[in-house]
Amino acid sequence: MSSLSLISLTSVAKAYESSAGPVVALHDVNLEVGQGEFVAVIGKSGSGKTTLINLLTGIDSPSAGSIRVGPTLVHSLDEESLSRWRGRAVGIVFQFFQLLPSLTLGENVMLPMDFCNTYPPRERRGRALDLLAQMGIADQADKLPTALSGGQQQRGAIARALANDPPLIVADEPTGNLDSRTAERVMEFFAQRVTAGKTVVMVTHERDLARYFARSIALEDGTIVSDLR
Amino acid sequence: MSPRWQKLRGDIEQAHGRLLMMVIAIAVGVFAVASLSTAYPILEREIVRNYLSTNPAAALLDVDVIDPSLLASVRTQAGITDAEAAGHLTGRIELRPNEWLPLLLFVVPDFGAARIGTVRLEAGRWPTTADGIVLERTAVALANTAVGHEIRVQAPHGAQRSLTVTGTVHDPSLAPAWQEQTVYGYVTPATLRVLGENPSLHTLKLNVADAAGNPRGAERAVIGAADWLRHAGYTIGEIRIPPYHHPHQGMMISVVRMLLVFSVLTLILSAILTATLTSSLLAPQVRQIGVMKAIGARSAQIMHLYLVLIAGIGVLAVGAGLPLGIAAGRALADNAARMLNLELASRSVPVWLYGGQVLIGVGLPLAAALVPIRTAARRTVRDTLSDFGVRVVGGPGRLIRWLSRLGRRDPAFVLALRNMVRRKARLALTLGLLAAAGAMFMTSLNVKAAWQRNLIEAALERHFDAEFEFAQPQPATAVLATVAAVPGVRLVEPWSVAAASLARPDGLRIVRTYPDGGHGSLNLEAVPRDSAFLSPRIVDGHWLSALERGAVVNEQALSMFPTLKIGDRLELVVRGVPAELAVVGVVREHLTQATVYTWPERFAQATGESGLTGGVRVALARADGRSSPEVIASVERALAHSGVPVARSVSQAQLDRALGGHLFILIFILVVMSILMATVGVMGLGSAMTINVLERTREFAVMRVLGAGAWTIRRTVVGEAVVVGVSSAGIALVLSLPLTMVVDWIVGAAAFGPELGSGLSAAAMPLWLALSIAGAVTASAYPSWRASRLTIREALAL
Repeated sequence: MSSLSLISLTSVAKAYESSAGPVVALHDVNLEVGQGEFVAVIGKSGSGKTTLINLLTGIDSPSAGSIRVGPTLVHSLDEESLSRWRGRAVGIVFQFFQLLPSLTLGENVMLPMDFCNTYPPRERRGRALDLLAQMGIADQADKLPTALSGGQQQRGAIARALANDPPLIVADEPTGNLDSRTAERVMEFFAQRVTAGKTVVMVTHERDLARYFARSIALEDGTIVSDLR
Repeated sequence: MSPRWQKLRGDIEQAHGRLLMMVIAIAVGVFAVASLSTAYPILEREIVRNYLSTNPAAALLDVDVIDPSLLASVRTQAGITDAEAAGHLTGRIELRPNEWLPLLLFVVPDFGAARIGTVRLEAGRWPTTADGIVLERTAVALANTAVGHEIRVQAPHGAQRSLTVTGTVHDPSLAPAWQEQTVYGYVTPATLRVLGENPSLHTLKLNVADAAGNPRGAERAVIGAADWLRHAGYTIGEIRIPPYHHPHQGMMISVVRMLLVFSVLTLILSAILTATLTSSLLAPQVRQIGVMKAIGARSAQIMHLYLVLIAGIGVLAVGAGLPLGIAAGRALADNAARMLNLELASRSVPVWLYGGQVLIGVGLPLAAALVPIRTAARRTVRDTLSDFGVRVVGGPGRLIRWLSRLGRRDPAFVLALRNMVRRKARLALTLGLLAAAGAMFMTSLNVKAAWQRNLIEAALERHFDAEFEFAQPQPATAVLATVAAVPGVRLVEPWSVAAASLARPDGLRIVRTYPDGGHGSLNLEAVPRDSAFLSPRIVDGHWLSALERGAVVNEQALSMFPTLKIGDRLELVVRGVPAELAVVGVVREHLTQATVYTWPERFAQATGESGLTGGVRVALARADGRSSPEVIASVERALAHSGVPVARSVSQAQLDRALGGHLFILIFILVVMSILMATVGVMGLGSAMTINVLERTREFAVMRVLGAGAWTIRRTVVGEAVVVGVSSAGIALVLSLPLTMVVDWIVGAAAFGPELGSGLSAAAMPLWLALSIAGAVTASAYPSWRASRLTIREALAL
């Protein structure tokens, strides 16, 4: 674990308007995450976990406070700058994989490189195949997502998150739809990335996976109630 | 190919049906615009070219004597570029024994040397003998004859003679013979002698410099030449200064312009449909767009992706619609040319027009699709990832709640009603599309109804079945007795008609009629005091009182004198004699010439024809297609037996044919345009229903979980489409009213002087309602089937 801070949340709050009045999702959250940390975000449904990672990735903006990821003040970016930054600096893994159904697995992995123009076009397929090989599914590169199992899809989604070699990987319950054996394999992949110097922040409900995390942050009613290392 | 384009390809494969629909919709719009914008410049150019190709006379002067020295002198007058002697007279041609049509005879001294108002020999040869005649090509069928055949002709003074048709000519300066129910013939002066008429020529045709570009200057030159002739001792009769364009040019160009506006409207509707279809294309892509943005795609990149798709669709649509539209436009120009008796020298249109059509065909859909694409591309990642279909903001409105109560026992109906208003912007687009198409459809039927109403009213206003005009005025009492004695004649009245012109301070009699003497003429008519043939509909002032010495004018005459009002004195020249008549009233009449009505005594005073009548009008005991011609022929025989030469006889049936031929093609094109728009509208409804189904897939799954069968789901979708269709029909009805007024005004003003008058088709609304419902059922058939076929597992997994 590195002591260099990659993520810094200062007095972050988030409230949503609803027909019943404002709903506070996060309240005065202060958080520092170092480079190379493997952080679990745990908590009950409605505790603010997804809101927290949405703020981290710029998917959502805070009602108050500041968010810094690396040198970037995320809360100050507009939507376009956020897209550009996210493509290069953050790899996102969704619970439901969210691979584009009309693209093959390989093409899905190449897509972030294409959007962000991070690698020359001729190198993209090779890099995608490399990443898929690291996930053990290079032979599935030319298949459409519907032809793959959930585990294969999720590994493909992780490969896609790594496409632009971002320093931060954020995953929202990536093992939630996988059987325990596949979930273990997915966690091992994340652990390998952490070893390679990446920072991983993961929302999870599964206590069985706790051993993989170096740090565990618990949320309750929008507040960090524990931060165990 | 890069992954993003691969994704686009995948999207295209997935949504090929909707994309095809988009191509068809835009192609329909491009087709409509291309066809009309092709026909318009061709017709506008060719109608002018055809007319000018005859080197039409700028003026025709009736002069007592025309000799070569006069012609030479007139040519030297200021502004006059050429002068030529000619003649014209009105006779009759016998179609069948005692069944006659008006014959307009143009007298040409030398066909080979004619320079002004020329005609082109199309078949046969010029007449070389005195009994030869050439006919205008559109008159041959009307006269029921052919080259080489003989026709029976009656000269103005009554002499009858057979002439041989030696050839046919094309005269594009005249309205087609079948439209005017008048046969046009061309003879030499020698033929006049054969017909017992004076062979000398009395019409002086003048050409002036820049008659088309400077009509005022042209008129000044003509008046100058006429003044010179008077001072030189010649007697000048009527001076006819035609408007220097084809008699139907105004009508045709106005109508084509109006259709062009409608075609642009169709393209705009297609573009709106593109926007709707683009929304339907993007609806299932919302999450994917969110994911793409989450992994680094910028809004501009996503917009670029879909704009390229729409541009490609535009190019395909232009590729399909433009050639077909150009072909249809040329066909339309061909038909219009046939209708106007024109020859199209070229069917080319400016190249920039094609470029413009390509730009519009591609650009307009792009512009329309920009909004939904921009909206989808600019949605935040969070918003797109949390999109689970349509959300309901606020409850249903009062109307929907009230309607829902009506169908309380049918949840599918209630759901259909409430679903309809969930996406208000989309609903507005769909309703707009269908309503515009419906309004157009109803307008075309309304215009047709208005035209038919005009025909019926015109027929009802003419309470007589035939009209006979004599070569010379005849003693009224004797003629009336002769005609009244003919079996089958119910009523006969004396009717005298004289051509009139507005008196001028310089004493010249200038009228604005064409060489055919019909278009733009003004008549003074003597109305029998106890006439049963006229039921004047006063729109201003009053009808002629018992001691009246003034006159009543119809609206057509009023439009010739824009400043004329009740109480003003109308200074006319009738048969060369000034006549001053106070205008006491204005009447509305349908499809008649400009007419000034006065009592017979005042008419006689103006014309010096006391106790005489220039013609009679006859009502028959039985006016039907079989007996009418027989009775009319009997009247002809009786008059001939009494030594009364009939110069012209027109039956109600002939008049109906002349009037009915004018508007058929316009109504046909209007209906075709409305069908095109309806097609676009139904496609719009289909696309809206497809999006609705896509967006509510999860809801349908939930309905299935709750026990709804496939039939219930289908009924909900089809019900929603039908409710939209029925609602659009109501809006279309409202929209069609002002649209009908505008089109009626354009058609009426352009074609017939006063407005066509409002006429609403009783069949229009029910017919469109039925079409809307049928269209709605058709449009929703596939989406409803698709919705009902989704398995719960598939639906909830989306």
